[in-house]
Amino acid sequence: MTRIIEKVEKEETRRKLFGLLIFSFILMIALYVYFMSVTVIKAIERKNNIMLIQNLNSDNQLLEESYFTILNKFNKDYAYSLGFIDQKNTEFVFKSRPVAKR
Amino acid sequence: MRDGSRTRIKLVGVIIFLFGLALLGRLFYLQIIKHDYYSEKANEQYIGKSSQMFERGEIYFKKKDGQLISGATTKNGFLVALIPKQIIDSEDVYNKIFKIIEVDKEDFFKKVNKKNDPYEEIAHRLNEDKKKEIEKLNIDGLRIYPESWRYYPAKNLAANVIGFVGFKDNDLLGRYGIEYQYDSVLKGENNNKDINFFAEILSNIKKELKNDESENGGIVLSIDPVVQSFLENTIQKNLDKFKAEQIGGLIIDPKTGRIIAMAIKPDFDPNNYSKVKDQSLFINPMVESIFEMGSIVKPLIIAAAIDQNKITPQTTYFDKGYVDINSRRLNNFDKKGRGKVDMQEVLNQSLNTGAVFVEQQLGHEKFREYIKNYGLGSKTNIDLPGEIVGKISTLESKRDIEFATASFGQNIAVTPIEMTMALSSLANGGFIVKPYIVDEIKYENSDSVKTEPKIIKQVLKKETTETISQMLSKVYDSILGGQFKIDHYSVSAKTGTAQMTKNGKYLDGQYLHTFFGYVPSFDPKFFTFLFLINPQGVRFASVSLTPPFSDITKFLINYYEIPPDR
Repeated sequence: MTRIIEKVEKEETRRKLFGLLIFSFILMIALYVYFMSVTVIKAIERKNNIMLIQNLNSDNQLLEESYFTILNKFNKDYAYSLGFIDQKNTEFVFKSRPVAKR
Repeated sequence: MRDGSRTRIKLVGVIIFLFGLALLGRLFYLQIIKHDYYSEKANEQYIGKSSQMFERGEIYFKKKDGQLISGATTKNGFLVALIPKQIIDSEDVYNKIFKIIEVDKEDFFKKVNKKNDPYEEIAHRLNEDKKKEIEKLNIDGLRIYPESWRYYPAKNLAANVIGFVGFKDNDLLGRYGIEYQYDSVLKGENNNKDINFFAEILSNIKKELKNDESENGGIVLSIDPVVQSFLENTIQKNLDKFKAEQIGGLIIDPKTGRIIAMAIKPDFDPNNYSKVKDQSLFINPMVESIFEMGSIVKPLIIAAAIDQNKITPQTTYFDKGYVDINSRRLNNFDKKGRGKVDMQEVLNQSLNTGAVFVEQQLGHEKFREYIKNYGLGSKTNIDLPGEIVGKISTLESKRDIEFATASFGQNIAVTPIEMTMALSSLANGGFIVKPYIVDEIKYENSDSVKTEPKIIKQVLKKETTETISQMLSKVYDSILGGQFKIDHYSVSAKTGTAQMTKNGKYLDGQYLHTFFGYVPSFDPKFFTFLFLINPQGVRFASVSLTPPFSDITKFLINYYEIPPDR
C-alpha cells in the first residue's frame, strides 16, 4: 500500500492518471453522444418504417377491396353480356395408359 | 501540493462545473420555458393516441393456389379531436372542416361547448388525404391522432363464418364466428406503435422476464374466396327468386372434412354490424340451428340396410301409397301407391313407405346404432363457436312410429353440419371425418400449426358406399326428367322436403328444402349441401334447389379442372 501511494505521488504517474481520467471522460461523453444519436436515429427509422408498412398495408387493402369487387362482378351473367356462350358437345380424349416414354 | 496539480484540479473542477451548468440550463429550458409544449406533447402521446390504437391478427381466405387474401384486417387512419377551450370561433371552425369531412352540426356544437372538457372526438376513420387537408387549415384546438380499427375488406363475404369484433365493457373482443373462436390467438396487446422509445424497451424487458407464453397470430381459413363468392351469389339469387326466409350452402372436401365454402343469406356487413337490427343474422345456422331434414335422410337408412345385407338395390316391396303404424297413417308425398317397386325407385321417387320398409328390415336397434354412428345427435367439434347437437331422443322410444317417421327425416332434428358429415360418409368410402374451417394458425414468433384431417370412425363398408353412390347417381340423372344430367360427369345427389316445425308443432304450408350432392360420384372431390327455409311458390326441393346445385357443380368442375369420369 505504501509503495502504491509512493508511486501515485510521483509526478509522472499523476500526469498519466490525469490523462487517463480526461481521456475516460471524453470517451464517456463521446460514447454517450454516439449511442444517443444512434438510438434517436433508430427510433426515427423505426417510426418511418412503421409508417411505410402502414401505407403499404393501406395500398394492399385497397387492392383487396378491388379484388372482391371484381370477384362479384365476374360471373356467368357478365360473361353472357359480353357475348360468351356455353360450350356445346364437349369432347374429351382419354388414354388408358400414359403415352410418354423415357 | 504542487502548482501543476492545483491547476489540473481547478481545470477538472471547471469542466465539471460547466458540464453541470449546461445540464441545468437544458433542464431549465425543457422544464420551465418549454413546459407547456412538452406537457401537451406528452399528453397527446400517452392519453390521446394509445387509447385508439390496437393490433389484432389477420384472418385470411386461401385460394386454390395457396394465395392468401385478407378476410379481416386492421386498418389505420386518423381521428379528429377538439380541445374545446382552445376553440374561439366555433362557427368558423365548423364551416372550415365541414367542407372536408362530414360532421354532424348539432353534435359538433354540443361538444365544442363543453369548455371544461379537455378532449372531444368529432370524426373518425379519416384517410391520409383528408388528414392532410385538415392539417392545412391549421386550426388552434383541433388535433389529429392516428387510430386503427378492425376492417373486413370482403364486406359480407363469409360474414357468418368470420364474425366481427365488438366492445364488451371496455374491451374490444371477437363476438361471433372465427373472431370469437380464436380471440385469444388473434388479439394482440394494445401496443401503441408511437409510444415512447425507452418505455418500449422497458416494456419488452418486462415481457421477457414474465416469459409470457400467450402467442399472437393470424388465422388462415380453408375457405376459397372465389368459391365462396360464387356460392353466395348463386344462393342469393335463389333466395330472391323464391322469396324464402333463409338459404344456406356448404361445400366441403368429403374425404378430409375441409370446408371450402360456407354461406348464409341473408347476411350482414361486419364493418357495419351495429346497424343490423335483426341480431339473429349474426348466428351461423350451419352449426347453431337444428332442422328436421326430410328425405335426404333416406340414403343413410338405405346404406345402413345394404351394409347389414338386409336389402340390395334390387330388393322390392309393395307400395300402397301409405303405411299404418301405431294407429297413424304415413303417406307418400303425393299419397299415391306405385305397386311393386325396388330400392332405386324408393330413392328416385323419394317414397316414404319405402323408407319405412327399409327401417323395418334393418330393425330398431340397428337403425338407432347407425344413426348414432353417423354422428347424428353428436357434436362434430368443428372449429366454429356455438355448435349445438341434434335431437334424436325420439329414437329412445319403443314406439314403432318414431322409427318409421325418422326413416324419412322427420322427428329427428340435426344441424346442417352434422347432416353434411353423416352424408359425406356415403361419398368418402364410409368414414366419419371431423370438419374444419381453419387451415392454419400462423403464429408471430413460432412455427405455423396446420390442421390435419382427422378420421373419427368408419361407419359403412367401402362396397356399400359404392352401391349407394351408384344409386344416388341414377337419382341425380333422373331429377326433373334428367334435364340437369351432366354428360361426362357422374353426380350423386338427393333432395329433401320437410314440413317446418315450431315448438314441436308442424306449420301448415311452411317447408324446409334440402339438397346434397357430390361429384364425381366414385372419387368425389366436392360435397355440396344446400337448404332453403320456407320458399314461396314452390313445393319441392327438386324444383328449388337442383338448378343452383347444378350451377355450383359445373362451376367447381371448371374452377378445379376436374377430369370427366364417364
